[in-house]
Amino acid sequence: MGSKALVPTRIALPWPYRILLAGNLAFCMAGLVFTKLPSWRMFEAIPDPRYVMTDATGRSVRVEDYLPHDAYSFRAQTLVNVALFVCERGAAPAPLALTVGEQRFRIKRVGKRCVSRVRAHARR
Amino acid sequence: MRVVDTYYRLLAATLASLVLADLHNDLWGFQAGRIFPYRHIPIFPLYGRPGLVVEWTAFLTSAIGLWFGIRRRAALWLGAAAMFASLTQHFSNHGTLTLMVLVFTAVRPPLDDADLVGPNMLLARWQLAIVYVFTGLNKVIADYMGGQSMANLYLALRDPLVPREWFAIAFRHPGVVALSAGVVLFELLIPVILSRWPRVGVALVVAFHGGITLLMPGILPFGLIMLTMSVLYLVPLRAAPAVGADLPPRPMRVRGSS
Repeated sequence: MGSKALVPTRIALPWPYRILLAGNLAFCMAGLVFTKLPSWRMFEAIPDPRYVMTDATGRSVRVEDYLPHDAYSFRAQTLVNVALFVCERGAAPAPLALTVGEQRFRIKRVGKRCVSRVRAHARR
Repeated sequence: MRVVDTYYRLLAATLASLVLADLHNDLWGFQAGRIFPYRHIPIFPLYGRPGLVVEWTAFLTSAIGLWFGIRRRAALWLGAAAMFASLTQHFSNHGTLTLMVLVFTAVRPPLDDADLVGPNMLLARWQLAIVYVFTGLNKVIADYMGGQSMANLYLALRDPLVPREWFAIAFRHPGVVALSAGVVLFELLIPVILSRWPRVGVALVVAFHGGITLLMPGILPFGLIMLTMSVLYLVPLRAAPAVGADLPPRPMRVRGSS
Protein backbone atom coordinates (compact mmCIF):
# COMPACT_ATOMS: atom_id res chain seq x y z
CA MET A 1 0.00 0.00 0.00
CA GLY A 2 2.45 2.70 -1.05
CA SER A 3 1.62 5.90 -2.88
CA LYS A 4 0.95 5.17 -6.53
CA ALA A 5 0.27 8.01 -8.95
CA LEU A 6 -2.64 7.26 -11.27
CA VAL A 7 -2.27 10.57 -13.15
CA PRO A 8 0.74 12.81 -13.58
CA THR A 9 1.43 14.87 -10.47
CA ARG A 10 1.51 18.08 -12.51
CA ILE A 11 -2.27 18.03 -12.77
CA ALA A 12 -2.87 17.14 -9.15
CA LEU A 13 -5.86 19.46 -8.78
CA PRO A 14 -9.23 18.02 -7.79
CA TRP A 15 -12.23 19.08 -9.88
CA PRO A 16 -13.49 22.01 -7.73
CA TYR A 17 -10.01 23.54 -7.81
CA ARG A 18 -9.71 23.01 -11.55
CA ILE A 19 -13.04 24.77 -12.12
CA LEU A 20 -11.89 27.67 -9.93
CA LEU A 21 -8.61 27.91 -11.81
CA ALA A 22 -10.32 27.67 -15.21
CA GLY A 23 -12.74 30.45 -14.22
CA ASN A 24 -9.86 32.57 -13.01
CA LEU A 25 -7.95 32.08 -16.28
CA ALA A 26 -11.06 32.69 -18.39
CA PHE A 27 -11.74 35.98 -16.58
CA CYS A 28 -8.16 37.12 -17.10
CA MET A 29 -8.32 36.19 -20.80
CA ALA A 30 -11.57 38.14 -21.15
CA GLY A 31 -9.73 41.09 -19.60
CA LEU A 32 -7.24 41.00 -22.47
CA VAL A 33 -10.06 41.54 -24.97
CA PHE A 34 -12.44 43.74 -22.97
CA THR A 35 -10.21 46.43 -21.48
CA LYS A 36 -13.03 47.83 -19.32
CA LEU A 37 -13.06 44.61 -17.29
CA PRO A 38 -10.96 44.56 -14.12
CA SER A 39 -7.81 42.56 -14.72
CA TRP A 40 -4.18 42.38 -13.71
CA ARG A 41 -3.06 45.72 -15.10
CA MET A 42 -0.22 47.61 -13.48
CA PHE A 43 1.36 50.79 -14.82
CA GLU A 44 0.69 49.73 -18.41
CA ALA A 45 -0.68 53.12 -19.51
CA ILE A 46 0.38 55.91 -17.17
CA PRO A 47 -0.75 59.26 -18.61
CA ASP A 48 1.43 62.35 -18.58
CA PRO A 49 1.04 63.52 -14.96
CA ARG A 50 1.70 67.21 -15.67
CA TYR A 51 -1.13 69.60 -14.91
CA VAL A 52 -1.69 73.15 -13.72
CA MET A 53 -4.35 73.95 -11.13
CA THR A 54 -4.96 77.37 -9.64
CA ASP A 55 -7.55 78.72 -7.24
CA ALA A 56 -9.58 81.95 -7.48
CA THR A 57 -6.62 84.01 -6.29
CA GLY A 58 -4.30 82.49 -8.88
CA ARG A 59 -2.43 80.49 -6.26
CA SER A 60 -1.20 77.08 -7.37
CA VAL A 61 -3.00 74.05 -5.88
CA ARG A 62 -1.14 70.73 -5.64
CA VAL A 63 -3.30 67.70 -6.35
CA GLU A 64 -0.65 65.52 -4.68
CA ASP A 65 -1.48 67.12 -1.33
CA TYR A 66 -4.97 65.61 -1.54
CA LEU A 67 -4.13 62.12 -2.82
CA PRO A 68 -2.78 59.05 -1.01
CA HIS A 69 0.91 58.52 -1.74
CA ASP A 70 0.24 55.30 -3.65
CA ALA A 71 -1.63 57.21 -6.37
CA TYR A 72 0.74 57.27 -9.31
CA SER A 73 -1.69 57.62 -12.18
CA PHE A 74 -2.97 61.18 -12.62
CA ARG A 75 -5.68 60.72 -15.22
CA ALA A 76 -7.66 63.81 -16.18
CA GLN A 77 -10.78 62.44 -14.51
CA THR A 78 -8.87 61.77 -11.28
CA LEU A 79 -7.54 65.33 -11.30
CA VAL A 80 -11.03 66.73 -11.87
CA ASN A 81 -12.40 64.62 -9.01
CA VAL A 82 -9.67 65.88 -6.69
CA ALA A 83 -10.40 69.47 -7.77
CA LEU A 84 -14.09 68.92 -6.93
CA PHE A 85 -13.07 67.51 -3.55
CA VAL A 86 -10.84 70.53 -2.84
CA CYS A 87 -13.61 72.90 -3.92
CA GLU A 88 -16.35 71.22 -1.85
CA ARG A 89 -14.16 71.12 1.23
CA GLY A 90 -13.35 74.79 0.79
CA ALA A 91 -9.66 73.96 0.94
CA ALA A 92 -9.01 76.53 -1.79
CA PRO A 93 -11.18 79.43 -2.91
CA ALA A 94 -13.37 78.58 -5.93
CA PRO A 95 -13.48 78.74 -8.85
CA LEU A 96 -10.52 76.51 -9.65
CA ALA A 97 -8.93 76.33 -13.08
CA LEU A 98 -7.38 73.03 -14.14
CA THR A 99 -5.35 72.38 -17.27
CA VAL A 100 -4.42 68.79 -18.17
CA GLY A 101 -2.66 68.46 -21.50
CA GLU A 102 -4.97 70.13 -24.00
CA GLN A 103 -8.02 69.97 -21.75
CA ARG A 104 -9.13 72.85 -19.55
CA PHE A 105 -11.65 72.62 -16.75
CA ARG A 106 -13.31 75.20 -14.53
CA ILE A 107 -14.53 73.98 -11.15
CA LYS A 108 -17.01 76.27 -9.48
CA ARG A 109 -19.30 76.19 -6.51
CA VAL A 110 -23.05 75.83 -7.08
CA GLY A 111 -24.79 75.96 -3.71
CA LYS A 112 -23.27 73.36 -1.42
CA ARG A 113 -21.79 71.33 -4.27
CA CYS A 114 -19.12 72.04 -6.83
CA VAL A 115 -19.35 71.25 -10.52
CA SER A 116 -16.76 71.00 -13.26
CA ARG A 117 -17.15 72.38 -16.75
CA VAL A 118 -14.96 71.57 -19.70
CA ARG A 119 -13.63 74.70 -21.32
CA ALA A 120 -12.00 75.24 -24.67
CA HIS A 121 -8.90 73.23 -25.50
CA ALA A 122 -5.82 74.84 -23.93
CA ARG A 123 -3.91 75.34 -27.15
CA ARG A 124 -6.77 76.88 -29.11
CA MET B 1 14.24 26.92 8.16
CA ARG B 2 11.43 25.01 6.48
CA VAL B 3 9.84 26.60 3.42
CA VAL B 4 6.46 26.57 5.15
CA ASP B 5 7.86 28.69 8.00
CA THR B 6 9.37 31.14 5.52
CA TYR B 7 6.03 31.27 3.72
CA TYR B 8 4.07 32.12 6.88
CA ARG B 9 6.63 34.70 7.98
CA LEU B 10 6.55 36.42 4.61
CA LEU B 11 2.77 36.40 4.70
CA ALA B 12 2.92 37.94 8.19
CA ALA B 13 5.38 40.56 6.91
CA THR B 14 2.98 41.34 4.06
CA LEU B 15 0.14 41.98 6.52
CA ALA B 16 2.34 44.15 8.73
CA SER B 17 3.52 46.04 5.63
CA LEU B 18 -0.09 46.86 4.77
CA VAL B 19 -0.25 48.89 7.99
CA LEU B 20 3.09 50.55 7.23
CA ALA B 21 1.93 51.36 3.71
CA ASP B 22 -1.33 52.82 5.04
CA LEU B 23 0.67 55.09 7.35
CA HIS B 24 3.00 56.08 4.53
CA ASN B 25 0.13 56.68 2.11
CA ASP B 26 -1.74 58.80 4.68
CA LEU B 27 -4.82 56.59 4.90
CA TRP B 28 -5.30 58.27 8.29
CA GLY B 29 -5.93 61.57 6.49
CA PHE B 30 -7.99 59.66 3.92
CA GLN B 31 -10.32 58.34 6.64
CA ALA B 32 -10.39 61.74 8.36
CA GLY B 33 -11.70 63.33 5.15
CA ARG B 34 -8.54 65.35 4.57
CA ILE B 35 -7.47 63.31 1.52
CA PHE B 36 -9.56 62.54 -1.57
CA PRO B 37 -11.08 59.02 -1.24
CA TYR B 38 -9.03 57.64 -4.13
CA ARG B 39 -10.12 54.13 -5.22
CA HIS B 40 -12.86 54.03 -2.61
CA ILE B 41 -15.70 51.67 -3.61
CA PRO B 42 -18.70 54.00 -3.22
CA ILE B 43 -21.29 51.36 -2.23
CA PHE B 44 -19.39 50.87 1.03
CA PRO B 45 -19.28 53.82 3.41
CA LEU B 46 -15.92 55.01 4.69
CA TYR B 47 -15.55 53.71 8.23
CA GLY B 48 -13.45 56.56 9.55
CA ARG B 49 -10.40 56.49 11.77
CA PRO B 50 -11.89 54.15 14.43
CA GLY B 51 -12.56 51.60 11.68
CA LEU B 52 -9.02 52.01 10.38
CA VAL B 53 -7.62 51.34 13.86
CA VAL B 54 -9.71 48.14 14.04
CA GLU B 55 -8.46 47.13 10.57
CA TRP B 56 -4.82 47.74 11.53
CA THR B 57 -5.27 45.83 14.81
CA ALA B 58 -6.72 42.89 12.88
CA PHE B 59 -3.81 42.93 10.39
CA LEU B 60 -1.22 43.04 13.14
CA THR B 61 -2.96 40.35 15.22
CA SER B 62 -3.14 38.13 12.17
CA ALA B 63 0.53 38.82 11.39
CA ILE B 64 1.56 37.88 14.94
CA GLY B 65 -0.46 34.65 14.75
CA LEU B 66 1.09 33.70 11.40
CA TRP B 67 4.65 34.59 12.43
CA PHE B 68 4.62 32.74 15.74
CA GLY B 69 2.35 29.89 14.67
CA ILE B 70 -0.48 30.76 17.06
CA ARG B 71 -3.91 29.65 15.79
CA ARG B 72 -2.83 30.02 12.19
CA ARG B 73 -6.17 29.09 10.63
CA ALA B 74 -7.95 31.77 12.67
CA ALA B 75 -5.16 34.23 11.90
CA LEU B 76 -5.57 33.58 8.17
CA TRP B 77 -9.34 34.14 8.24
CA LEU B 78 -8.90 37.25 10.41
CA GLY B 79 -6.37 38.61 7.93
CA ALA B 80 -8.72 37.80 5.03
CA ALA B 81 -11.64 39.59 6.72
CA ALA B 82 -9.48 42.65 7.42
CA MET B 83 -8.20 42.60 3.85
CA PHE B 84 -11.73 42.48 2.47
CA ALA B 85 -12.74 45.42 4.66
CA SER B 86 -9.64 47.34 3.60
CA LEU B 87 -10.41 46.78 -0.09
CA THR B 88 -13.86 48.33 0.31
CA GLN B 89 -12.16 51.49 1.54
CA HIS B 90 -9.15 51.78 -0.75
CA PHE B 91 -9.05 49.24 -3.58
CA SER B 92 -5.72 47.92 -4.82
CA ASN B 93 -4.47 45.06 -6.97
CA HIS B 94 -2.04 43.90 -4.31
CA GLY B 95 -4.83 43.93 -1.73
CA THR B 96 -6.97 41.71 -3.94
CA LEU B 97 -4.04 39.39 -4.45
CA THR B 98 -3.32 39.25 -0.72
CA LEU B 99 -6.98 38.40 -0.06
CA MET B 100 -6.84 35.56 -2.58
CA VAL B 101 -3.64 34.14 -1.08
CA LEU B 102 -5.04 34.35 2.46
CA VAL B 103 -8.23 32.56 1.45
CA PHE B 104 -6.42 29.87 -0.59
CA THR B 105 -4.12 29.22 2.38
CA ALA B 106 -6.91 29.28 4.97
CA VAL B 107 -8.87 26.56 3.16
CA ARG B 108 -6.27 24.04 4.32
CA PRO B 109 -3.41 25.72 6.18
CA PRO B 110 -0.14 23.94 5.40
CA LEU B 111 1.61 22.36 8.37
CA ASP B 112 4.82 21.27 6.67
CA ASP B 113 6.60 21.60 3.34
CA ALA B 114 4.73 18.68 1.79
CA ASP B 115 1.46 20.55 2.35
CA LEU B 116 2.73 23.39 0.15
CA VAL B 117 1.93 21.25 -2.87
CA GLY B 118 -1.62 20.59 -1.69
CA PRO B 119 -4.38 21.65 -4.11
CA ASN B 120 -5.12 24.93 -2.33
CA MET B 121 -1.47 25.93 -2.33
CA LEU B 122 -1.13 24.95 -5.99
CA LEU B 123 -3.80 27.57 -6.65
CA ALA B 124 -1.61 30.16 -4.91
CA ARG B 125 1.33 28.99 -7.03
CA TRP B 126 -0.79 29.33 -10.17
CA GLN B 127 -1.91 32.77 -9.04
CA LEU B 128 1.64 34.11 -9.12
CA ALA B 129 2.03 32.96 -12.72
CA ILE B 130 -1.38 34.40 -13.63
CA VAL B 131 -0.56 37.82 -12.17
CA TYR B 132 2.84 38.10 -13.85
CA VAL B 133 1.81 36.72 -17.24
CA PHE B 134 -1.45 38.67 -17.57
CA THR B 135 0.19 41.87 -16.32
CA GLY B 136 2.82 41.37 -19.01
CA LEU B 137 0.25 40.60 -21.73
CA ASN B 138 -1.86 43.62 -20.79
CA LYS B 139 1.27 45.76 -21.07
CA VAL B 140 1.98 44.42 -24.56
CA ILE B 141 -1.60 45.17 -25.63
CA ALA B 142 -1.44 48.71 -24.17
CA ASP B 143 1.72 49.51 -26.18
CA TYR B 144 3.69 49.83 -22.95
CA MET B 145 6.90 48.75 -24.62
CA GLY B 146 7.14 52.07 -26.46
CA GLY B 147 8.37 53.44 -23.12
CA GLN B 148 5.99 56.40 -22.73
CA SER B 149 4.16 54.89 -19.75
CA MET B 150 7.41 54.45 -17.81
CA ALA B 151 8.62 57.92 -18.80
CA ASN B 152 5.35 59.31 -17.39
CA LEU B 153 5.64 57.16 -14.28
CA TYR B 154 9.06 58.70 -13.60
CA LEU B 155 7.45 62.16 -13.55
CA ALA B 156 4.76 60.90 -11.15
CA LEU B 157 7.20 59.42 -8.59
CA ARG B 158 6.56 61.34 -5.40
CA ASP B 159 8.47 59.91 -2.51
CA PRO B 160 11.17 57.45 -3.58
CA LEU B 161 13.44 56.03 -0.87
CA VAL B 162 16.47 57.10 -2.91
CA PRO B 163 16.73 60.10 -5.26
CA ARG B 164 14.85 59.20 -8.43
CA GLU B 165 17.57 60.94 -10.43
CA TRP B 166 19.77 57.89 -9.78
CA PHE B 167 17.51 56.04 -12.18
CA ALA B 168 16.88 58.90 -14.62
CA ILE B 169 18.85 57.38 -17.47
CA ALA B 170 16.67 54.27 -17.40
CA PHE B 171 13.51 56.36 -17.75
CA ARG B 172 14.73 58.48 -20.69
CA HIS B 173 14.80 57.46 -24.33
CA PRO B 174 16.32 55.15 -25.45
CA GLY B 175 16.92 53.54 -22.05
CA VAL B 176 13.23 53.60 -21.18
CA VAL B 177 12.38 51.38 -24.15
CA ALA B 178 14.89 48.80 -22.97
CA LEU B 179 13.57 49.11 -19.40
CA SER B 180 9.97 48.62 -20.51
CA ALA B 181 10.86 45.64 -22.68
CA GLY B 182 12.86 44.21 -19.78
CA VAL B 183 9.90 44.54 -17.41
CA VAL B 184 7.59 42.71 -19.82
CA LEU B 185 10.20 40.04 -20.48
CA PHE B 186 10.63 39.53 -16.74
CA GLU B 187 6.88 39.23 -16.18
CA LEU B 188 6.41 36.71 -18.96
CA LEU B 189 9.44 34.58 -18.09
CA ILE B 190 9.54 34.60 -14.30
CA PRO B 191 6.97 31.79 -13.84
CA VAL B 192 9.12 29.56 -16.06
CA ILE B 193 12.29 30.53 -14.22
CA LEU B 194 10.64 29.86 -10.85
CA SER B 195 9.52 26.44 -12.07
CA ARG B 196 12.90 25.45 -13.49
CA TRP B 197 15.33 27.26 -11.17
CA PRO B 198 13.35 28.28 -8.08
CA ARG B 199 16.23 29.84 -6.15
CA VAL B 200 17.25 32.00 -9.10
CA GLY B 201 13.59 32.92 -9.59
CA VAL B 202 13.14 33.98 -5.96
CA ALA B 203 16.33 36.08 -6.17
CA LEU B 204 14.99 37.77 -9.32
CA VAL B 205 11.64 38.47 -7.62
CA VAL B 206 13.51 40.08 -4.70
CA ALA B 207 15.58 42.23 -7.08
CA PHE B 208 12.62 43.25 -9.25
CA HIS B 209 10.28 44.21 -6.43
CA GLY B 210 13.13 45.65 -4.37
CA GLY B 211 13.76 48.07 -7.23
CA ILE B 212 10.07 48.94 -7.48
CA THR B 213 9.86 49.55 -3.73
CA LEU B 214 12.88 51.86 -3.79
CA LEU B 215 11.02 54.12 -6.20
CA MET B 216 7.47 53.49 -4.97
CA PRO B 217 7.55 52.62 -1.25
CA GLY B 218 3.77 52.98 -1.07
CA ILE B 219 3.37 49.61 -2.79
CA LEU B 220 5.74 47.62 -0.56
CA PRO B 221 2.98 45.04 0.19
CA PHE B 222 2.82 44.18 -3.52
CA GLY B 223 6.46 43.11 -3.55
CA LEU B 224 6.08 41.15 -0.34
CA ILE B 225 3.00 39.21 -1.44
CA MET B 226 4.68 38.29 -4.73
CA LEU B 227 7.77 37.16 -2.80
CA THR B 228 5.55 35.16 -0.42
CA MET B 229 4.01 33.29 -3.35
CA SER B 230 7.34 32.80 -5.08
CA VAL B 231 8.82 30.79 -2.19
CA LEU B 232 6.12 28.16 -2.80
CA TYR B 233 8.14 27.19 -5.89
CA LEU B 234 11.01 26.09 -3.63
CA VAL B 235 9.06 22.91 -2.90
CA PRO B 236 9.29 20.69 -5.98
CA LEU B 237 6.01 19.67 -7.61
CA ARG B 238 7.00 15.99 -7.60
CA ALA B 239 6.17 16.05 -3.89
CA ALA B 240 2.50 16.59 -4.82
CA PRO B 241 0.18 13.60 -4.51
CA ALA B 242 -1.65 12.92 -7.74
CA VAL B 243 -5.42 12.96 -8.03
CA GLY B 244 -6.58 9.43 -7.33
CA ALA B 245 -3.24 8.48 -5.81
CA ASP B 246 -3.35 5.44 -3.61
CA LEU B 247 -2.31 7.09 -0.37
CA PRO B 248 -1.07 5.15 2.65
CA PRO B 249 -3.93 4.37 5.04
CA ARG B 250 -4.29 6.44 8.18
CA PRO B 251 -4.11 4.49 11.47
CA MET B 252 -7.62 3.54 12.56
CA ARG B 253 -8.89 4.11 16.04
CA VAL B 254 -10.91 1.10 17.15
CA ARG B 255 -13.74 1.74 19.59
CA GLY B 256 -13.08 0.05 22.90
CA SER B 257 -9.37 -0.48 22.33
CA SER B 258 -7.00 0.98 24.88
